[in-house]
Amino acid sequence: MRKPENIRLLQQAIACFDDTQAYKQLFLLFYPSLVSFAVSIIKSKELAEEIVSDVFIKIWEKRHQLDKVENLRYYLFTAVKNKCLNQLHDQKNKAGIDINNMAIEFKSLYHDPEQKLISDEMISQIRAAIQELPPRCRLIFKLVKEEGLKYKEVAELLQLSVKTIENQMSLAFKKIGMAINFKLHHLTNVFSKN
Amino acid sequence: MIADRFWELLSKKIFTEANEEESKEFEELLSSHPGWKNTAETLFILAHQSQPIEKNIEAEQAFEKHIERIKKINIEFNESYPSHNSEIAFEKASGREINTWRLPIGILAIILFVFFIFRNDIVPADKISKSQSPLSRVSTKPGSTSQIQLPDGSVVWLNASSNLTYDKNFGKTFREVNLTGEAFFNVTKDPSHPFIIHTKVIDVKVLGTEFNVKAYPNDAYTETSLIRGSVEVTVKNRPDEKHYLKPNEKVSVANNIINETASETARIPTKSKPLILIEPLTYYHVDSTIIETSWVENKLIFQENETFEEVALKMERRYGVNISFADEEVAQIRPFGSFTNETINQALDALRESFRFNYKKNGSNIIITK
Repeated sequence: MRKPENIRLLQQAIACFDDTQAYKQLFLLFYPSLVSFAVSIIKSKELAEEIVSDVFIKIWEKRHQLDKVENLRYYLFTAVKNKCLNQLHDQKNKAGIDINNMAIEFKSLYHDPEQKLISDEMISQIRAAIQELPPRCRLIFKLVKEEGLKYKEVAELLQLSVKTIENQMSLAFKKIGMAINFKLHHLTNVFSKN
Repeated sequence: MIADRFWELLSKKIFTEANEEESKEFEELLSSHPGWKNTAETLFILAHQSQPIEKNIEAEQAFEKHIERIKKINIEFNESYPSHNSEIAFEKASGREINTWRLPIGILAIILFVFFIFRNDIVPADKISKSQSPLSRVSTKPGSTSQIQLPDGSVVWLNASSNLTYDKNFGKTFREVNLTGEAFFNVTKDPSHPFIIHTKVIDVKVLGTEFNVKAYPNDAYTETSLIRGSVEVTVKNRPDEKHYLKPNEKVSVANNIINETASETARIPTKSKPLILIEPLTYYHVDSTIIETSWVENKLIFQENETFEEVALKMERRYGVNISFADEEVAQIRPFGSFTNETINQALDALRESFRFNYKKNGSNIIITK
């Protein structure tokens, strides 16, 4: 459902047909990740929810232009970020994204019984590896892996360089890779004993 | 370190960030370190696992709160739109009693109005001309096709044995037509007036596109094939389930989806095929013609994906004949071939040579034998 083509079709349905069902689908699709992204910036769940709701109100108000938005996913994250920063500015707090101490959940890691290669145990090992990643690295990894943003988009969103994103991504992969590598190694040992 | 480079390239590769050079470097790295291949494969699988679809209750609740906020600041948000189908509206009203009373009179009026249009469809044509919204009706006989221009400039090609109706309100709010049989639509773009095609089992809603709808009552499936643009397909008794098509896709909805017993009218049973199926359009391997819309160019193409029995249905429509099978084995042959200007005799003769059967023709009745 989160494939770009599907999002594109939802956009068209909302823009052309005022389709409230499609609007609901879009909301449900992005709400959880946008709220957790907003919380990482403004540190308040209540405010974060309000901001995301505000962004979606704007989407509905301007729905007839929605068809023109090239990359809605990126647009939503940027809109939420800007609203959060404005909010911080109004609170006379220092504007900027502090992404330490945030709980980033990974939804897309689960054990698919069809995939015999990957066991429950391996999943929990990977989860642990992700939890141990530095917060910034974890957020970048989530935005790329779960939100499907491009390196360049994440860089712009978080006001970092593309090189930093590349480095953080390879750090994440190294940690995860080492976690499963150990597992694979372990498995082969078991087999060779038999 | 070379290992660090591996992780960097692997992540780029997985998230399609790698350019050509980096891809090449990655391949080389893998071939010189075969032990890394397993890790790379596992990570590929993990990264491209899609999320299991689960109902997010928290998000659902947040959406209700969100709608309350929208309404509080007086932004129009009409939840019953675009469910202008009378059946849908009534179903919803009985499902949620509180909402029934909240329905504004205007919406009730629309529901009644649409309901009235639906009734029109089953009233004989001579009576309709006396009613307040007379129907325009275009019909084709077996063996003939027709091209029509609608009041909004949209062009419709009507295949044989088909029937298209619309009333004088066409274009006021919606551009609505009723279809039995098959038609190819080239709909002119008009975002403020959605174009809706009602068939027995589905509604197809579009804005401005090219597509084909095949809704013969004696077929097993109602098919919508999209050439360009986008369409929204709703099955009549499943209003909450919308299917959006991409160009070069078709959605087939089993005609017995509405009522399991209604399938008796279909000559070919659906067997164990799914009720709703989205798949790519089929191309004729010789010249890449799209098979679903080839009838518009007067082509009749079979490509081994249909039984002779199914093919015969198409031939009946195309040539205005009746075909019956005296032999079950012959009916299950999967013929291939393409016909444009051939007569029914020429077509059958050509098929007979390749697929070894016999036929007897008596007027417009054809019997196929072993």
